[in-house]
This record gives sequence, C-alpha cells and structure tokens, in this order.
Amino acid sequence: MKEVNKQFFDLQSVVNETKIRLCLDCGKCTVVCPVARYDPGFNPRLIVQDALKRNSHGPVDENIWYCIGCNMCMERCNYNVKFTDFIRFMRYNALSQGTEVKCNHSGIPHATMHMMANRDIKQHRLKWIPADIMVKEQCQTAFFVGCAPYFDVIFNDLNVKTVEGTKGTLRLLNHADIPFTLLHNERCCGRDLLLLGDTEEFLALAQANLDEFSAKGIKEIITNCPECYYTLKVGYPRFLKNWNIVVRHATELLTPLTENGQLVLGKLSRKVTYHDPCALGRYSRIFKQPRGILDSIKGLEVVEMTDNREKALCCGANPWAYCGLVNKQIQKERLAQAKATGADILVTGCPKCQIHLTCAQKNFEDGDVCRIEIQDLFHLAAQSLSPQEEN
Amino acid sequence: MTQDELRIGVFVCECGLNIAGSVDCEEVRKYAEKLPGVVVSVRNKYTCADPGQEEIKKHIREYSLNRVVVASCTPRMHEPTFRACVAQSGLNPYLMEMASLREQCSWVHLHDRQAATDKAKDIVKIAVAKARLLQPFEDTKIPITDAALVIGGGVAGIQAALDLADAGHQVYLVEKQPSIGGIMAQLDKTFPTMDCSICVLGPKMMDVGRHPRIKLLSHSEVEQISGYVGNFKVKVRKKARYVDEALCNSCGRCADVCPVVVPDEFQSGFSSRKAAHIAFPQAVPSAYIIDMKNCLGNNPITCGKCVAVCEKKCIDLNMHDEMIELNVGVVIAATGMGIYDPSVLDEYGYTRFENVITTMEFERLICGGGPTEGMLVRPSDRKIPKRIGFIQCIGSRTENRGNPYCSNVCCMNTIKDTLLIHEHYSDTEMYVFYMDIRAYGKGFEDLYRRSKETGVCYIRGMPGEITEDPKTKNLKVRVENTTTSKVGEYELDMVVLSVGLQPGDDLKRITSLINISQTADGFFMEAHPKLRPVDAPTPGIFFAGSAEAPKDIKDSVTQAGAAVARSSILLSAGTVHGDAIKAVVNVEECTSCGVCAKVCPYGAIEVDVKAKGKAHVITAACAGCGACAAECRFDAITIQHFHDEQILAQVSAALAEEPAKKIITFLCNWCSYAAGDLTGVSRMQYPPNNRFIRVMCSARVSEKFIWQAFRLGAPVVLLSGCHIGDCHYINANHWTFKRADKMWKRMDKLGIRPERLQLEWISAAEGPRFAQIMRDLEEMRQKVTDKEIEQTKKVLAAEVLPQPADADEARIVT
Repeated sequence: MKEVNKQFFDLQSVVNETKIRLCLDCGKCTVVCPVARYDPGFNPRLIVQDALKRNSHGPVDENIWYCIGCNMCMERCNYNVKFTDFIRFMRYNALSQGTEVKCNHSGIPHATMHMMANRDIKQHRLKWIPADIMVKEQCQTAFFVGCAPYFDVIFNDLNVKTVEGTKGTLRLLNHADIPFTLLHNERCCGRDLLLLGDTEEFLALAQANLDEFSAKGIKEIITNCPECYYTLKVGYPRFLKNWNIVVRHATELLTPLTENGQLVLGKLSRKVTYHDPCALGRYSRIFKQPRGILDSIKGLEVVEMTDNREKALCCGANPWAYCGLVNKQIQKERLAQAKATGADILVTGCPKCQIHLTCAQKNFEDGDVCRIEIQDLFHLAAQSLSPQEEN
Repeated sequence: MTQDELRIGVFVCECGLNIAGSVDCEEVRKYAEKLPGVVVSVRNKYTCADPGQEEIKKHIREYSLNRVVVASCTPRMHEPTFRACVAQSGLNPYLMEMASLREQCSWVHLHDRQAATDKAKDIVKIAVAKARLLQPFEDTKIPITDAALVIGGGVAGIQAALDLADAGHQVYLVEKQPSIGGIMAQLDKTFPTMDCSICVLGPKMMDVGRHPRIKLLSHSEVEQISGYVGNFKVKVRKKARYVDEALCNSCGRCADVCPVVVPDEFQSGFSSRKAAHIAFPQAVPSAYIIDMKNCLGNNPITCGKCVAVCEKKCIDLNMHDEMIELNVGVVIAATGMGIYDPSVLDEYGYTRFENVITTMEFERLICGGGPTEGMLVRPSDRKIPKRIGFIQCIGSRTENRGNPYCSNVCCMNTIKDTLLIHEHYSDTEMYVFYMDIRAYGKGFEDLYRRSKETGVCYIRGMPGEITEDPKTKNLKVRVENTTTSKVGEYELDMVVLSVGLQPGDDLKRITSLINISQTADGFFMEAHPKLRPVDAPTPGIFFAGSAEAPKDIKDSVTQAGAAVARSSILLSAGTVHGDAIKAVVNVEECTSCGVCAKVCPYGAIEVDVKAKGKAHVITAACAGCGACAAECRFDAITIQHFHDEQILAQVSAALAEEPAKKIITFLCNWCSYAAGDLTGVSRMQYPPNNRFIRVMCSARVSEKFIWQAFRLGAPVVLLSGCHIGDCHYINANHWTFKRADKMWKRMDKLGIRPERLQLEWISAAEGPRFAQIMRDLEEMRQKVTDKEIEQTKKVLAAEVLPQPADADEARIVT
C-alpha cells in the first residue's frame, strides 16, 4: 500500500502539493489562527519557514502538534497554501523519527482506533439501535455510523449522548423514506490518525472499510458525522485506489426535501445558535444545508454567533492529543460567543464538537460564561417530529 | 522555350569549408545535374557573395533558367538575398527555392562525410521536386485608409489621438463616458512628482476637443469592426446625450432646476449630482448631459424644467442614438482598466464598515475638486482622521478572491497618498501594511524614502481581519508584523484599501470586436511580448495603456507614443506590402461548409453557410498559416507557395530511395525550423536520417501529407511546431494538435502504431532538445520493422484516403 501512495510520503511532492513555497509571508494566517491567538509561540508562517530551512534530521518542532487543523489559515491565504496538509506530513515525519504522540483521555480513543485497524476484530457495534428505526438488510446505500457509539462509552463521565445524533439522523432518513443499511464491520474512518500523521494506520482502517463496502456491494454512503463525511468524500479517493462510492452528508439529502415540502419537520419553541464544525464548513463548504434543517423546524429561532460560516471558530481540540490550556481557551471563547447570542442551545452537527465543548464546560468553574446546552443538529430535528421522546 | 518547359538551375554552395568540409559538394553538383528538369548545376565557393550572385544571374541569362535552386544555408538567413538576386535577372522571386545544406546537414553531420553527402543529395532532390512545381506570385499590396480609430479616451487614448493627429492623420476618438479623461481625471496628485493630475491632463483634453483632425465621439461605443489592416469599417453608436453638445455653453441652469438628485459617480458617491449634469468641471466636450435613467421624463406635465430654462434651446429629450460609420486604416485600443472591488474580502469589511474606503475614494476625498474640497474627513462622522492605515495588495498577488499578478501602481500610489496626507495634516499617524514595496521606477525610491522620513510606519504584514467599534466607528486592525513575528492590534480612524487593477468590464467585448486574444490575466495579448509589445497579433491593431497590462500614467503615455509610431508606419506608407503566401479558394470545389472560417485564427475567411455562399479570403487579413487548407475536406483551398502538390512532391522525393531509412519531419518556419538552425549553428550532432520539410505553420500539414509518407514507406513521421501559446499565427497550432490526435485514433483503428506519428513542440531556443528529439526519432525508426512498414503500405492502399493526383508524376527517378 505504501508503494501505491508514495507521493504522500515524499517531501518534494508534499511541498509541491501543499504549495508551501508560495507562502508570501504576509502573516494573515497568524492573525486568524485561534491557536496563535492564545499561544504567541505558535506561528503557522514560521513553522513552514523553519521546516523548509531545517534539514530532515533536525529536532522535531514541538509546535507541529499544536495545530488544531481548523483550516482558518487556508481560508485567508492568498495562495491557497495547504498548511494543515503540510502539518500532517510533518507529523508523519516526526512519527517516523520515533516521536510519540502525547494522547489525552488516557489514550483510550487512540487505542480504540488502533484496535479497529486490526482486520480480525469482531465488533458489536449496532446494539444501540432502537426498535422504531427501520434498517434494510440489503441495500446499496449504507449509513456510515462512525464512532459515536464508542464515544458515549469512552466519555461516559461527560454524559454526552452523541449516538442520539445518529439515531436522530436515522429517524429523519426513515421519515423521508430514504432506505439504507448498516454495516456490522464498519471501522473508524481514521481521520484522527491521519491528522496526527499516522498515515499507515489510517490506510489500514481505510482499506478495511473499503473491503467491507466492496463485500456488501455498497454504491452510496450517507453519514451525519462531518469528519467521516470529509474523510470518505475527499480523503479516501485520494489515498485509495478503486474508490468509486458516492458519499453524501445527511443534510445534503434532507435539506432539499424540507425545501420542496417532501419532508415536514415538527415544532420546537427554542432559541438556538448553530456551530459550524470545521470538517463540514470550511473543509466541505456545507454551510447552508444544516441551517436549512433548522429553518424548517417550526417555532425555532436561529441566531448566529459573531464568527460563523467560513469564519466559525473551531471547537478547539486536537485529535484526542496535546489538549491543553490553549485549547480550553479557544473552547471557552466559542462557548462565550454562543452564550452572547442569547440562545438556549448551541447546535452542532459533529459528535466531537459536542464532546470537546462539553468537556470544556466541565473544566471551567467560572460557570455562567460557558453555560449553554449543547445538542446535536439531527437529534434536535428528530425531536421536533415526536417531542414526547425528548429525554 | 515554351512556358511549360522546366529549366532549373541548381547552385551548390561550399560556404568555404562550412559545407564543403563535411559534404562532397562536387558529388552533390553532379547528382543535381541528373535530376529531371535540371539544365545546369553549378558549384560556388560563396553563393551569397557578389561573385556567387553574379554566377546565378549569368546562368539565368545563358541557360534561360525559369527555376533556381540554391543549395546553401537556411532560407531563414538568405531567402531574401537570393529572391532579390533572381528578381534582378527578371525571374519572379517565388521561382527560387532554397535547400539548407549547412544548418541541416554539413554542420550537424561533421564526422560522417559519406552520410552527409548522401543526405545533401536528398535535400537537393527535395528542393528540386518543389522547384518543379513553383509558380510566380506578386507580393500583395494593400492600400491604406489614412485615418485611425482610437478606442478609449483615458490618458493613453488622448495621447495617441493627439500624436497621430499632429502627425497629420485623421483620428476618430471614441469614448464611452460623456467626457474623456478616464481614471486620471479622478486622481488628485500623481507619483512620483506629486503634480496635480487634472492640471496636466486638462490642457491635453482641451487640445483633443479643438484639434481639427480629431473627431471626438464621446458617450459612444464601438459596436462593430470589420475588414482588415488598412481597411477597417467601424460602426459606432453615439448614444443620445439629450443635449446638443455643439450648442451647450455649460451655463448649468438645467442642473440648477433639475429636481432629481443621485449619487455622483465621479466623486465616488461621496456627493450628489442632478440628472442634468456635467461629468466634472473640466469635462471635454464641455457640455451637459441628461441621465435618462434617472430623468423624470420628457413629458412637460411631469417635469421638463431643464428644457424650459435652457436659453440656447439645446436640450432635446426626444434625441435618439445615432449610428456612425467610419473607415479607418488602423485601430488603437486604449480601453483602460477596471478597478478591483474589495467587497468579497469579508475580513476587511469594506461593505460593513463606513471608514474602510478604497484608494479611488481616497483620491476624491483628498482632492481640492472633491466633495470636501480637499478636506480629508472620514465617512462615518466627517471628522479628520488622525490615524490612517493603508492595506496593500488588495485583490492582487492572490490565487483566490482577486488576481494573481502585481498591479504595478498601488505601492507608489499609497506612498504618494501618505505624503499628501502629511502635507495636509502633518500630525496624522500613518501605517502601511504591505508584503513588498515595489518602488522600481525613476524617482520612485526617492518618494518612498521621503514618505518614511515623514514618519509613516511601514509594517510588513497583511492584516488578517478588521473589526469595528460599534460606538466610535474606529477600526481595530490585527496584523502580524512578520519582521518580528508578533501579532499586533492597531486602532485606526480610517483604513484605505489599496485596490489592484484588473481588465475592464468590456475588455472581453472589445477583444471579440477586433478578433484578438487575451492573456491568462485577461488583458490584451501582444503579438510578441518583447519585440512587438504594442501590436495585436492581428495586423493594423495596436494597444495603448492599461488594457494591455496594469501600468501607471507615464508608461501609458509612453505606450501610446509607441502605438502611434507603429500606426504611422502604416498610415504614412499608404500601402502595406505582404508576401504572397496566402490562402486562395477554388470556388468550384467549395461546398460552403464553413470549416475554414472556423479554423482561421484571423477571421480572414468569410463564408455564408446558410446562403451557401462560397468561402472568400480577405487577402490582407490572411497571414498564410494554412490551417484552412489543411482542414478543408474538399481540397478547395490552396496556400500559395505551399501547395498540396508541392509538399506531396517533397514527401515523395524524400522517400524515393530507401524509404525505410528516412524520417519525414515537418517543421514550422518560426520555431521548430529555427531550432533546427540553432542546432546547426551550435554544431550539435544527430543521426543523418531525417528529411526536413518546411511549412509556415504546423497547422499547414494536412493529414494527406502524413498518410502519403506512410504509404510510401516512411517508418516514422514527426510533426513539429511552436509550443502551445507561442504560435506565430495566434493559436493555429491548436488545430495541429487536434489533427494529430485524430490521426492517432485513425492509425490505431488501422492497426498502425500511433507512436510512428510523433508530435513535438520545439521552440526556436531549444537547439539541444531538437538534437535529442532527432536522436530519439532515429531510435524509434530502428524499432519499426520492414514487415510493419509493408503492412502499413498494404492497409493504406486499401483505405480510401486523400489521394494526391500527381503523386506519381512527382516521384523523381534518378
């Protein structure tokens, strides 16, 4: 496999692909980078400069681990320098030089991912499905669940219920008569490993998933998780040979149906603000559709935070590693932005945003600034269909 | 001697030892003597020298020669010399053909005398084969209308019009705005000398207005240009002004009574004007205009106040647009530039924050003739800003949300602005946020230094975002100073976005009017970026000013002068001479399919497809590339001096003996052939198996030439031209590529390995590459088996492919 994708591991092709030599040193990235805002030692421009100067045997620049991959730098860059892609490569290099990733949460999320990369693993990953959700046994369209069921176990202490978002999505799909099947042997999409530079384990997961899709004759994949969506839609075709599966985000299917009246949502009298997950917003340019779902819920008041859409502030976290004070400050800022809108609920479409922002709330004692209910977009939308189910 | 009897004289040049050193010239001479049609063959030491030329003239007389072949050096060197030489003996210059023994043979095969001599014989044979079919032609002469059209009345157009008119030519200056003056009229001061813009432009504008040889058509647009160099027909729409500009004495009473108030575009919307207005006080023509979009109407019940009050009775609210037809010999396109709209740069909040303005808005705010009479105030509260920031490269040097190029003028404009502010309010704090300051011109660096001396703070870094304090309307600018790598926040009263320049909105329309191309940046494309910088590829059309690329006033004026000089050459000469290499339509064969008109890069062929009108070549516009002849499926187009029969005869001659050892190579005159010459001059060696056939453009090479080569047993054929984008016939070589692609597919179907037809773009500078390609071709040739060649011949004999009528006749037996 390494042979096939050699171009992703070679410095020269990465330099060309990421266009880092085109950097004009204008410093716009540093200004908009949320990490740089709280950590004056972090400067995307200088990381690139140093990397180009440094010979490959030099010491690893510690800063490469602090990029949260939000892609805000790319949003402002004049020459489309792909900084986050370059960081990923630098991390890959650091790992191959023997650097060990400093994991958070006792390394459990990472261990889970690595376990899934084992081809012989037997998972019981579909036990959470309630009786009311209709799943096809045979179908060319698969719903890609992602890691939400695992997250709820791992982050039991946070009391997040990310799988409710998955359930909500499935209920909406049922409601819209969109058929799908679920896969017993689905793996993690691997995005976190890819971001952390563990390209080989990422490829193992990707290949295992591809094999599973091929075995089941899957032609189309729907998912609600922004990270899975971006990885399957953009990452897999880039890294895998013979990838020809159509990937759609649930909002891409559902929003047009709400607009043409084929899918009618119910009523919820709440005031919400929508937080754009980076992978869905800046990475995938899906800004309108999630808001379209919210707009079709009757009685729902939607307000925007100061930083929204392309400018949305990231939930602040690294892929389950190197989380520190800077990350917490970014999260606090985001929660404060949400609070300032006067909304009751911060709605997000990403299980990870949900976990990280909830985690941040636990960590801060200065209570009120960050106190706001956090809910999944699809969970909220599905509740409007049958408000009595609200828990 | 009858007209048809061929009497060819061959003159083999030794060129000292340049040719004779590696070619046995006597053997070549003897060989030539035996070729059919050759009556005399002579060997010279230096054919181009006077004695050599005398030899040619003497033999023409003594032997009554009616064709001459000079076997010496490249025709790119001495074709004009020998054409003149034969003409002096009364022979038509087009009856002389050259065989390049030096660049293509003796210099590139220095170490194998026998092989070089054999190749030299072939080269002479190929030339004689063509010479046998040569026909006399007269150079074309086209009369030129002594008048010029200048499109655009900015500073470049004004300068061009004045210079041309002063040189004695009639000029029509068409300006789409109600007044000439362009962007320069809106500027306050100009860099680097800080002189007042309108003070230097105003007199020139007035000169235009009163010049007896300039017909100014303001508020007018060119709608159609047809014809060709020397003979353009132009249709201009003179839009209704509703005021007779000849009668109007600019008293302004119409504006006084006009009840309609709208934003004044000239003042960047900072003040208002009436529907009846004059663009600006110095406008030329100095006449009012009624803005009909906003006028209440010509019904006296509704309004009509202006009509009532006008003493000169020059307002006519029922005026119509007028169509004017002009005949001109040349066109100067000086259509100017557009200015980048920063609205999309959300981070700078141009549309959200009142105190973020553009440089053009700044010009009006600081100008004595502006809405504030030169008092610099900020829009939100009309207070004098004490802290001003300039952000450079807005919409320039970017691949997203703007243009990739540097706009050339913005750095100096900002430097000028800082000095202006300092002059007016010396206590103003100023910050310039930049990536690079480009102060490259005369006096530029000095101005930059003066700006720094006044205390302007130059900070290397582009702001990432601007936020506004909702109460004070002050702006917070966050920027990384990239020299210290520290992110700082500056609170400023006003921010000026130094917006870049871009192609004007109607540039695309203009390019389609005059059939010229745009560069990747969207500006006009020059005929040659170095040597013909103000010429369009279409003859008779020239550029001036920012329509060609962003430039400052001085460069615009300089370029206008250059365009005038280029135009004067044509207008003063009265006629334009061209060579006879032109397309000619055989109307009997023409089916009016229209393909030729489609492929012509110059729009030089007219076909009325619907009415089944036959194709007609506008000879003056035809450049002779031959794309039309190659694409015509009915053989209805002939290219003079490069007939199908001539080229087929060359192919046949090249393959007459031992075809399996020959590689047929078609070279375009401008790039590939020149590269071959360079290879020779540089003495780069390559195998002697190539036989070269020169065409003006690779697009001339018809499929049938290549099929003929394969049918006669050629193992490999090379088709070669200029690189895509460098074609000397605008973009004719796109057709070369399409044709090769089509042939590869056909070859594949016929079971002929497509690799046997090679396509290479070789520039005139790529000598080493030319030699390498020749070596690669030879390697390729050796891999083509005899069996394969025989198979191809068999397949092609069975196929119905374009069959040249006189192929057999052209095959020369020695």
